[in-house]
Amino acid sequence: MNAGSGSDPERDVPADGGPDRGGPGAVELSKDENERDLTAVHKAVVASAIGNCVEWFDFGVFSAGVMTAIIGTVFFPEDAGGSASLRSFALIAAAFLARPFGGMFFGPMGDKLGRKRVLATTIMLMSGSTFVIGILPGYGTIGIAAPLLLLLVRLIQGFSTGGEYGGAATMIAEYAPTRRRGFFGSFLEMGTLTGYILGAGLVLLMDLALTTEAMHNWGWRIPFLLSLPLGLVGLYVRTRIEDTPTFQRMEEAGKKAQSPLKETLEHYWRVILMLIGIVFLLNVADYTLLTFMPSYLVDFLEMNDTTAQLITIGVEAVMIMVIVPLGALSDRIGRKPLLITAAVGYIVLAWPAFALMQTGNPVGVALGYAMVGGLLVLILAVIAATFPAMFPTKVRYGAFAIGYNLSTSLFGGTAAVLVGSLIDVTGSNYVPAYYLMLAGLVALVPIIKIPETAGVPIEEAGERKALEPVGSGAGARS
Amino acid sequence: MRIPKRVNTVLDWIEEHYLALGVVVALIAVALVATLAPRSVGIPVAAFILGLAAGGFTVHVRSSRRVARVRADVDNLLRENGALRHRNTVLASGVITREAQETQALMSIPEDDLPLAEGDAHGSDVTQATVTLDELMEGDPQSTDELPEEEVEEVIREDDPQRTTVLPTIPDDFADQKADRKAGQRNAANDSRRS
Repeated sequence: MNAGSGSDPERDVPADGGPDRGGPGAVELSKDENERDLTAVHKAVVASAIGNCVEWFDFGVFSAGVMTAIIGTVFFPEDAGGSASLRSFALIAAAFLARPFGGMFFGPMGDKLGRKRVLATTIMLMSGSTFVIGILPGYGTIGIAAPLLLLLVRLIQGFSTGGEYGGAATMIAEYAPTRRRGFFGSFLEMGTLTGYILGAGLVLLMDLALTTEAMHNWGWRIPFLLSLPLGLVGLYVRTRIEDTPTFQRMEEAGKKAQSPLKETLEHYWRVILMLIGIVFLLNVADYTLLTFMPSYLVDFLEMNDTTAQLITIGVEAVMIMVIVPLGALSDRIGRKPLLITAAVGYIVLAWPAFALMQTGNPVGVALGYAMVGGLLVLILAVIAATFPAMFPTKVRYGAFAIGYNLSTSLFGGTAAVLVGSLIDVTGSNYVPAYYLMLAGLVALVPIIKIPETAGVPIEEAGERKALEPVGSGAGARS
Repeated sequence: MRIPKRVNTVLDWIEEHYLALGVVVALIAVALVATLAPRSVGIPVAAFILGLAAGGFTVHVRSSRRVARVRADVDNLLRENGALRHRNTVLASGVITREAQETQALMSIPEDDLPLAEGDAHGSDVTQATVTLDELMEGDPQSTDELPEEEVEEVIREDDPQRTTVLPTIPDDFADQKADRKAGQRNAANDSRRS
């Protein structure tokens, strides 16, 4: 029945999908133990997803059209160069610049000290710095210190975010039962979309409810202030769970890496490069859809701002509904079929999607937007289960955080600016489509090369000696 | 009407995968509808949908084969488990002991150190008969046969300065005397058993 390594996930995992005990000779659990372990898994999922929610809540607030205009005027002098939106995008880009450094700092720390402690730190920093933006005085009150303080806060946000996603995905992957890693991992990206919708939706609601003057004077601060209670909830849940069973076992066995950063860069740089290639497509699609598209619809397709926001939020609401079933599907058929479908889909459908949007018809725009979003959700549903499984436990957090944030910084933060600039230069509204097609081509190579890890216990995933998936799961070779 | 075997096999296969085939047919229909859109949009969309149908059906067939293989393995294991449970139940009930089972499984080894005797009056198998041991002599079974006193006296000389563990010499006719004594004892025993 088993191929490859000796452990059998059918024997090691309880029938109702309790947490992965891993390894051969695992003891069968009683029903009470199974229920307690599933409770721990649920807590870990909530703890991880809520951090992602906070991160993208801030992003949704900051990148909302009306907010970029307000931020650009409140914190900068009236005669500052460039448009208000451009200044806001520059601040967004600053946060992206800090992310790889956060990944290099928090990632190896998480491999050495444990996931739980680092994740508690990152969520405090993230929600705290977002809250500070809401109480920062404007340029009119403290002068030049206003944009400088704002820049500093954005850098801290980016630095803490660098350690957030890698740790959150690692925590879920190491807590989840082997055969349900895709299902539980998809909740992380559900947190992403939920946070973004909450942030963007809240800004939209306030913009509709308040007058322009009220929104400009004090209304814009409310969404930033709300991030603190969100963060406190996340902190509470994260401090109430134990560190991941996989990390605890590794710690007890004395197999922690002495120098995780050095070992990561020395032995796993090829895998990190493959990760960067796949995340390139993820980031181009993600940030094009979430950051660039709302302003693309307004600035280049001359659509009404509210309509653009509603289409964005509507498509993402549908994405939230399908992401978890897709994650569960990946546990049955594997991660790679979904990733390959997405990559090929962007190569084939990106141009038709933007062609539909050019019609100006709201239905056509929504259809085109839905095509891009529908392919993106195929990727989002599986990445939280796929990426941690590319690395062994002792360097997982660090390697994942470094690769993911480097790629996000290079391609995610620059996506909106690059595409906007190319449209200005070339005069073609199809530039986002060409960029997506290029990203699909680049990502297809590492997607085909990486091993299938659905059905592979997380302790064995990423190990060089055990690349064959075992058991009767989707990954078993025929 | 008799259905040819091959056709029947194909129909069985279709019945087994009718849901997946239904989805494939639906996707083909959607792809055909998509071709009605402008060519720049319709053809790529139709191609993607057809690719999705083909890829999805391939994944479904591979998954079905894997599931069938695993089910066969599970059935074999259950069968083996049932047989082992039955054996354990029989052993636990004490009907036959494990050792007896093992002993009975062994082949009987003929006893070849004694000449084969004919069967006794009860007609039992000679090969299953145990060897009859010699009748034990009277007296202390731990003591050895004693030599006659006069022969011992000839051997032992108390004034011999070299005397340590000098063994008495055995007379030449001692073996014959011993054999005669034993034969007499055996005959007496046989007589007493017959009576």
